[in-house]
Parts: sequence; C-alpha cells; structure tokens
Amino acid sequence: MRRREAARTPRALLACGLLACGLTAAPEAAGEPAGRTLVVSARGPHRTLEDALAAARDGDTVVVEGGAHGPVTVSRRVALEGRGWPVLDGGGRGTVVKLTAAGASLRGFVVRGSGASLDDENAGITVAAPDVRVEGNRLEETLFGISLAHARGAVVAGNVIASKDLDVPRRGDAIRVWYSDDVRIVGNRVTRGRDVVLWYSQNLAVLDNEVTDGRYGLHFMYTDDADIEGNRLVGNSVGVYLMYSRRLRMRRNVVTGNRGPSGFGLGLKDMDECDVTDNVFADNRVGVYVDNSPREAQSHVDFVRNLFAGNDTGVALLPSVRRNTYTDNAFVDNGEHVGILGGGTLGENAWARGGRGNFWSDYAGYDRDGDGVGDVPYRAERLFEHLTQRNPALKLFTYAPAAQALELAARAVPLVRPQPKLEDPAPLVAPHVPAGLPRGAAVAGAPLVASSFGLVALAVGLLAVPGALLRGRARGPVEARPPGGTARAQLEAGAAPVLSFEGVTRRFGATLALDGLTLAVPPGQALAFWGANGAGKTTALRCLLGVIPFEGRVTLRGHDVRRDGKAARRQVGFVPQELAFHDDLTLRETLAFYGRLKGLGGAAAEAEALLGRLGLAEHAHKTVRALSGGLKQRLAVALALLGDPPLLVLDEPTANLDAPARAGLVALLAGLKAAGKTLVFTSHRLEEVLALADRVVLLEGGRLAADVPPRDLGERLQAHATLHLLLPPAAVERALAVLTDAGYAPARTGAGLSVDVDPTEKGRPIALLVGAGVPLADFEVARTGSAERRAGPASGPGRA
Amino acid sequence: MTSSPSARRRSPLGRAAALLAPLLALIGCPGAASSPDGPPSMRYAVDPCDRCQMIVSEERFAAAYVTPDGEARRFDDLGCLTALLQERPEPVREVWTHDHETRAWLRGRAAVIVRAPGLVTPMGTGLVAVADEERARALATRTGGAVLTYDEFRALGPGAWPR
Amino acid sequence: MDARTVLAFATKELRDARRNRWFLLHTGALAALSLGISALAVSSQGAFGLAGFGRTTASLVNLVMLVVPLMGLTLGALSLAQERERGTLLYVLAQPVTPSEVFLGKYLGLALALLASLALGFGASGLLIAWRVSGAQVQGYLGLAGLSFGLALASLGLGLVISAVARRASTAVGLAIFAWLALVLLGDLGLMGTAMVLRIDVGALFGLTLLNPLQVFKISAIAGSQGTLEVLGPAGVFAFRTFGAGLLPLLLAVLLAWVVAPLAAGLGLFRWRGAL
Repeated sequence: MRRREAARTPRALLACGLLACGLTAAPEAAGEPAGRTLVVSARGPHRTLEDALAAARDGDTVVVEGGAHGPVTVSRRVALEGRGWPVLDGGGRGTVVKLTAAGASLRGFVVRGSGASLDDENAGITVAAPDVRVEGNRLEETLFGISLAHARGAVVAGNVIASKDLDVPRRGDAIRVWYSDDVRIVGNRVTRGRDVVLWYSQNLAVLDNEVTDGRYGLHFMYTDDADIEGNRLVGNSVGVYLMYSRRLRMRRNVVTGNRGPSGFGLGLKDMDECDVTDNVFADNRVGVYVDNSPREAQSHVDFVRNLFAGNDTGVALLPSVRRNTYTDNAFVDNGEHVGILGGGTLGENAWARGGRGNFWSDYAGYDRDGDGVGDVPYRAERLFEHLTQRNPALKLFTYAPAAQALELAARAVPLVRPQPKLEDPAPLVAPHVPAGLPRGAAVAGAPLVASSFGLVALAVGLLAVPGALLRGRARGPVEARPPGGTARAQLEAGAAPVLSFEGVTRRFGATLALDGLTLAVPPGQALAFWGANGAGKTTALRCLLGVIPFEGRVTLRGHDVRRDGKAARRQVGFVPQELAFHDDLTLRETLAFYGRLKGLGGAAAEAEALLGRLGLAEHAHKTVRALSGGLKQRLAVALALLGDPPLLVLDEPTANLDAPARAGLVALLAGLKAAGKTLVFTSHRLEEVLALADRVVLLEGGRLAADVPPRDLGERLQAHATLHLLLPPAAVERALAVLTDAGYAPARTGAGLSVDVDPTEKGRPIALLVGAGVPLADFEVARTGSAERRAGPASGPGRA
Repeated sequence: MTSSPSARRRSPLGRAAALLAPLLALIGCPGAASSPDGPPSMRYAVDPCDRCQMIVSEERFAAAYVTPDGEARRFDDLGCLTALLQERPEPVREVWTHDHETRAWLRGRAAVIVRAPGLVTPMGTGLVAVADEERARALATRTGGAVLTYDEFRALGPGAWPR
Repeated sequence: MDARTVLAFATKELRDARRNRWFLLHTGALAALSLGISALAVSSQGAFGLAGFGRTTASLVNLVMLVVPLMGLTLGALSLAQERERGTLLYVLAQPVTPSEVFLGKYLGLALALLASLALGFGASGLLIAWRVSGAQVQGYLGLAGLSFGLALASLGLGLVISAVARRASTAVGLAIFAWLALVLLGDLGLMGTAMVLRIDVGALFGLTLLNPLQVFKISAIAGSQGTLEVLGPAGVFAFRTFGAGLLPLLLAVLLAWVVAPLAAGLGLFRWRGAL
C-alpha cells in the first residue's frame, strides 16, 4: 500500500496543483486586492506559524517553508500554503487544524496525529465556515480526517487521507460533510477510514475520488441534488450507500471488491429520482441493493449502461421495490444476476425500455435479424435460486456441485423448471462496456508471482526427487555383519533355535488352517514342510513371517514375530511362491528399495555383489517386467539374501521353473545351506526335499502329522501308492472283477479305476489286466500322503 | 477368507462416524446463545441494523429490542429502533439501549433518553440514552438538546427528524 | 516406527504416482481447468478493466470440490488394494517393516503427490492471474491452496480406509467413486431435500453440513476469503453469529478431524486386515 501511495503521489499532486491553480486563480484575477505574503521559515521573517498567523490580516497569504509545527486554528481569511511539506502535528491530542474563518484555505501541508476520541470527534482538519478550501494536503494518523459542518461552498480537493490504523468501530470518518451545501469533494484519496459521509447538504459534487478499505465508501443521507462521478470505491464494506435523498446522479464510477459486512457496491434506501449510469459494479457481494426506492409514485430509479460483473448477486431487490428501470446494462457472471431479498417475487420493474433490454451472460437465445437484440426473451429461471427463494437456508449449498447438478437437471428436464424470476423481453446479445472509467494504480502482482513460482517449483521438486532417492547410490562401506558361516558351528554346539513355533493356530472362520503347530529349528538346519494343498504349509510360512494374525507364538532368534515383528523379520529372507515385485522398477532399483526397507541404506556394494553372485549383473538395468521366470526367481533369492539374514524362507521356490532352472536353483540353495544358512521351505517335489532338507515336517489338515528325516518321507510315500487305470467304459466291469479276484480293492473313477498298490509291485495289476485281455489304455502312479489315502479310494489322483 | 468384504466395510464407516459424532454434536448446538433474559449479542462492525441495513459499529449509539418469542432486532441508532416500530409495529418484550457515556447496556425504562441535535449519531437522529436523570440533563444542556420521557421516546416517528 | 522406512515407502509411492494414469489424468484436469478459470478471469480483466478475483475464487472453490476429492479418493483407494491384489503387499509386509510404516509411508507419498498436483494447478493459474489481474490477494490465494490440500488429505484418508479393506483394485475404485458421488452430490442433495421437507432449523442444517468434508472445505474457503458467511444465507449468518471469530478455527478443526479420523481409521483397519 505504501509503495502504491508513493507512486501515485506525484501524479495526484500535479493534478491537484493544476486544479488548485485554476480554482484559486479565478478570484484573484477578478480584481480583489492581493494581500500580503508572510513567509514562515527557519531563516525568518517569521520563525513560527503562530507568529505569522498573529500578524496576518484577512486576505493575506502565509507561506510555510517546511518544518514541523503544532496544531493551528485559522480564524482569519488567510491562505495557508505549505512548501516542501511542512508538518502540522497534533501530537496525538485533539484536532490538528481548525478553519473557522470564511474564505480561509489550507494547501500543501502534512497534517498528522490527531487525538483518538470519537466522542470529541478529534480530526485532522475541521471546517466551520463557508467558502473554505482544503487542497493537496496529506493527512496521516488522524481519527476523523476532514470534517465540514456549516461550511457552505467548501472545496476539498486532492487530499490524501490515511487514517489511524484502528479497528473499524474505533475509526472516525475520513471526510464528513454536515449541513454544508454546494460543496465540492474532488480528487481525494482515502484509505482505511470509516466513512465518507455527506449528510443534510444540498447540491454536492463528489468527483474523481478514490476510497479504499473503509466501511462506507460514500454515505449520502438527506442530501439532494448531487453528482457522484468518476470515483473509485474499492475494498470497502459498502461502496456507496445513498439514503433518504433525491436527484442523485451516479456516473462513471468504479465500484469493486466491496465485500465487507452487507457488502453492497451501491445501496439505495428510500431514494427518489436517482440515475445510475455507466458505472462498473464488480466483485462485490451485492452489486446494487435497492430498498424502498423510489418511494414516490411519480419518481424513478434508472440503471442504464452499467456493468454488473462477478458479484455474488448483481442486483438485489426487496420484493416491495417497484418502478426501477434497467436498460442497456450488462450482467456478466454474477453468482445470481438478480436476487430477491427475503424471498417472495419481484415487484413491477422494467427490464427493457424502448425495445432494448440488458445483456445477460447466460442468455442462450439468438439474434437472427442482427439488430443486437435477442429474438427470444431472457428468463431468469435457475432452479437452485428458485429453491433458495423458497427456503433461504438452502443458500448454504451455494457453490456446491450439488447446486449445479440441480441447474443442469432443470435445463435438461423442463418439468422441474421453476417460474421465471424475471423476464427481459429484449435481451442484448453483446455487452456494453462503460468507457473512460477512472483507473486505479496498477498493483504489483509480485507476491503472487513469487508464490506461484514457488508452488510450481514445489510441484516439480516433489515429482523429480523420488527418482534420485530410489536410484540407490553407494554410501560408504557396508557395515560388517556376522558371517552366516558360523551357524553350522552353532548347530553343532546345540545353540538356541533360529525359529520356533509354539502352539501356532490360525483360523479362517470355523476352519483351522493351522492347529497348534509346535516345532523348533536350530541354526543351519534345512526344514521342509510337506503336505497336500490346504494342509497348512503356506499358512505356516505366513505365520512365521507375521503377515497374518494367529494365536500362539513364533520367535525368530528370540524375537516374537507379533510383538517385535520388525526385528524378527530382519532374521528372515523370504522367497514367495507368486513372485510379486514392482514391475516397473529395474533390478538395481528393486534391490535398493528393499535394501532400504531392511535398513541397509543405499548399500549398493552388497546389492552389486549379490547381482554378480546370482548371475544377474548383466540384467541389472532391466525392469523386473522384462525378466524371465528363472531370472525373476534368482532376483527373489537375491532380495532374500539382502542383509545376509540367517534364515531363508522359501514357498514353493521351484514351482514355476523349468527343469534346468529348477536344478540351478536347487544347487544354489544347497550352496547357501552349506554356507550355514538355515532354510525353511515348502515343496511338492520329493527330489528337492531329498536334496536339500535335513528334516521334513508333514502337515495334515493344519496339524503336524510327522517330523521325520527325508529318507523316511521317501519310504512313507513309497508305502502308499495309487494306480490310476484308464479304461474304455466297456472294459471297466471286467477289470473290476479281475482285480477284486486278485485281492485288490479297486474303486471306480471317471475314466476307469483306481487301486491302492504296494509300491514294490506297482506293475502287478497291469500284468493281471493284460493277462486277462482287458484293453488298458493308459495308467498313472500317484504317491500320496496318508491323509489322502484315508480320504478313500474314490478320491482323485493326488498331486505328485 | 470367507466372510464377505462388504460386511466388513461397514464397520470402518461406523467407526469413523463414532469418532466424529462428539465433535459434530459440539458444532450442532449453538454455543454463543446469549441468556434469554439478557441483552442480545451484538457484533460491532459486522451486524447490520435491522432497519437501515447499515453496519452497527458504535456501542454508544447501538440499541436493540427483543420480541416475545426471543428474536432480537439490532439497530445502529436509537432512531432506527423507533422508526422500525413505527413502520412495522410488532410486540416488544424488552428494549435495550446503551448508556452513551459508560457504554453499559440499559434495560427498558432504566434508560433516560436525550434528544441532542448536536450529536452526530449514525443516522443523525441525535437520540442517545444515559442511565440517570442528572447526567441526562447535563448532556442535554451541553448539546442543546432535551430530555425525553420513555413514552415520548417511544412515540417518536421517522417524520419527527429533520430533513 | 522408523522414519527412514516410512520415507522409503513415501518416495516409492511418489514415484509410482508419476506413472499412475489416474494421477496424471487428475493432475492434468486440475491444471487445465484451473488455468481455464483463471484465463476467464484474465479475459474479463481485459474486456472490462476490472478484477474478477472474488468470482475466480468461487469458481476455483467449485472446481476443487469436484476434482480434488476424486483424486484423493481414487489414489488412496488404489494404493493398498492394488498391491494386495498383485501380491506385492504380502511380500512387502514380509520385510522387516511394520504395517504402520507401510500405511503411513504410502499416505505420506500420496499426500506429497497430491501436494505436487495442487501446487502445479494453483501455481500455474496463479502465474496467469498475477500476470493480468491487479489486486489479486496472495494470502487468500495461498489460503485456498492450503485448504484444498486439507481437502485432498481428507479424501486421501477416506480412500485409504477403502483401500485398507478392499481386496481388489476394481472394487476399491468402484467404492471410491461411489464415495465421491455421495460426497459431491448425494449427501448434499439428500440434505437439501430433507431441509425442504422438514424445515430443519439453520443450526442443525449447518451442523449436518459439516458431516461432509467438501462442505467444510467450502465454508472454510468462504469464511477465510470473505470474512463472513453472508453469501451462504441464514445458515451462514447463524454460524457466523454463533461462533464469531472462532468460526474459522472451528472449521479448520473440523477439517483437521476429517484428515485425522480417516487416517486413524484406515491405519487401524489395515493393521487388522493385513496383507490378504
């Protein structure tokens, strides 16, 4: 604000200087005897203003050259002229300048520091005599600014008034005109005042003023015959409030951003014969508010060629308002163009005259004959507005998408379209934009530019950073970890178990997926879970990892996986059955990400070593998506080995691999086991179990069925074999008879028969059938666990 | 994993609602309601006058009345109060004015009204109130005005003020 | 709780957001629409020689109410559900991390992604506005941006509540869009209808409105930029009269509750539901 004033001041001064010359030159030229000139300056002749004033006679001019002076009262017809901005300072008490002589004038002073008493109406300048001029002064830190009472014919021009920075209730009026006819208020700039008040006065001219950040920009009451022209009223609570007056003409004013309490651009209350022409009312809460105007039957209130834009409500009328005329105005993008205060319907007002109405930015009609007037009437029939008319509480939903949805619905479905609020029979198709309006000083947009740049930079920064963070740079040497090789020694020494299950139970509803599993795995041991699908193998691993809730207790190197899951899982490298990585990361990024989760920082050295060890180095830059199944599996192992955990947990590690890849993986795991890693894995392949496991835990229906060395598993499996015989339907009966006779207990299956056999003579039933001439198409041998055997011979083939 | 996800989904919403409920209860009930028998709440520089729609800024001039069903009408100027009652009569339970000098609320007839043309009240009516006869007379003398009885005050209408 | 782990998930999430079609679509839409609104303001500045900044703010409020919740809800709803569906969630939870770290990391990352998106939209339109519209108020503008971020966090939290329990990404997105519809349209329309029929008193109506975080955002934005709620009619006037200067802090507190409560609920649900 300060900068803006500084920028404006020279121009304003120039303007009011010219104005002042023109105005003051006239009487002097008219032949009135020129008075003396008394000069007040540090060099004399008059050292103080008081001296000069005491010596001055009517008609004299007192020139004050700079300096600081106290409060003054001018009680003779003297022209006080400041040069080099002399200061009149009230020292924060009372009123600073009192002009009590007719024809006195004050020009070119800084008037500063009035008292702050509202009761005493402390002011910068008071005028209590006719024909006084107050021109080109700067008022600072005053309560009331310039206060005129019984001061007919006064001129207040080109003053800059910045009131004390107080809360609105404690402020005084920046300019007050009170019982003073024929006053001209011209080219003043007022900020932070309360009101500019013009009461009980006739025939006023209020021209080219700027009033900002006050309460009432202009307040007229009981004041007839005034011209209000070329003023700018910006950011006040209310721009202009005209009351109880007649014959006010308001032209070419710019009234914007008046959004305080009540927030009218222009308010009319009990006004008659009022012409409002060529003004801009923009961005106010209410552009124009009309209450009981005109009052008299023969009177009028006319709005012509005004622009109402971007107000919450363009024109707000009380239902009782009648005989307003609106023509050639432009209503552009107001929240509602015309509002009815307090509900009800609009009174009889004219929305067109002489075949010309107004421009409405939401007019959807057309102008086929090109005369500038739309061929169909404009109707204000917005549904949401209509609803708020009926129930004002619904205004709470203003700006809500739901309100717009209602509008759309009303347009699409004419049935719910409300009665039009008003109809303009001759809407204009192009807006008239008032020209030659007063322009405000350009406000530097620098803070907004800077903050907007800041926002954009923030966005770019946020979106650019993670790439760098994920790229996993080497950060110093990898911290030393206890080598996994010592585990074997610990195993031999009978050390504490790496892993223990204690009564682990997991339920899905009524089903027990795991039922009181208890076991311990010493360091360096390789344990295989064996069992049918649904036996609980995967569930056991998930409980081990603590990724699903369960009852009982799982500890990993003494860390309870449920209470201290993080430390527990730090002991585990996990290879899942379904390899699910983030497809769009490269291998290196994947390792870096999981390295960070394992608290390794960006330890790239270890990751690179692993990539090399697992033959992935050449693929490091590829995305996971581009890898083959075998390479993905190796990546999974590499991830599991990150951080060198003592325990590796693998869920069906070879399930999705082809034979060569499978062999490679088994060799790799055997190597890890030899290096001392503890292994816990599930598998469906006996050869893997035999190759890797030190111990096999058989699970059946969630329960531990057996805990045996691998070779016993082989024997157990061998002990139970089922032979599936594929037979042509016609041969089934005979085959059944042949086998039953031979002492077997065959069962029918969809494709033939199944029969339990001694694993050492699996060929015998085939030989019997072939011998009996039964046409055997094919056969299959299934090794089954005891559970499946128990389920009965009619069950399908077990999975190998 | 057989229980239906939709059955579970309901519980989070329920929980969220339960969390928010006390807060909303707090908001739902008007907190700043003034006591039924005291003067109405008044926010200076915010509330508009119920007659002239101007913003009520100054305590020393502000007045109000309360209807039998507890609704408050607020005024920036005592003159607006009497004017509204003239233009749109309605039953009044209690009239509230401010002591022009001490700014204290005055209930009904506890106020002595001074009509002082020299005082610039917000609507220029020059009507103010003080708490006792003595100060009222002093104020009237100082401002060239007159002391009104309460009934004289009530009888005032908009036509009585200068134009 | 390890801040580094949370940060690891956050950066990962932020990176993923850049490749997320939803995110890109929303960010593009938000930037384009806010630029469009600002361009309108700028053009009216050119045509009429005036600042339509108040109206621009209203349009931005409206836009934010439509786009930002959709963004927060869908991003939030996708994040956990998608990983659960793909199985990566199980794998991630098998690492030495806690579910809270995963949840908060994702929340933080998505919150930063949303912040980036909003900063881009508001920054670009701010430049456009600053270029031509004089008198634009920087605090008001930044305040609106800040409130929009609050709304984004609230809807992100709601999205994560959905995500914490949904098993499939498609279910989660469906629920998110339904929640969006409910917040944007159904709730308000229902409340409007109820108010029409039952003549709810304005206090109750105002209280009920605060059940919707979008309305909390809107009312805060208006209270913040205009200082009063008169534009919202009797209910707004009631609220302003009842709470006075405490209104804005109160609204901000409710918005904060709308940020915190879903976050807490989502975290609790995720810990209960786990990886499956």
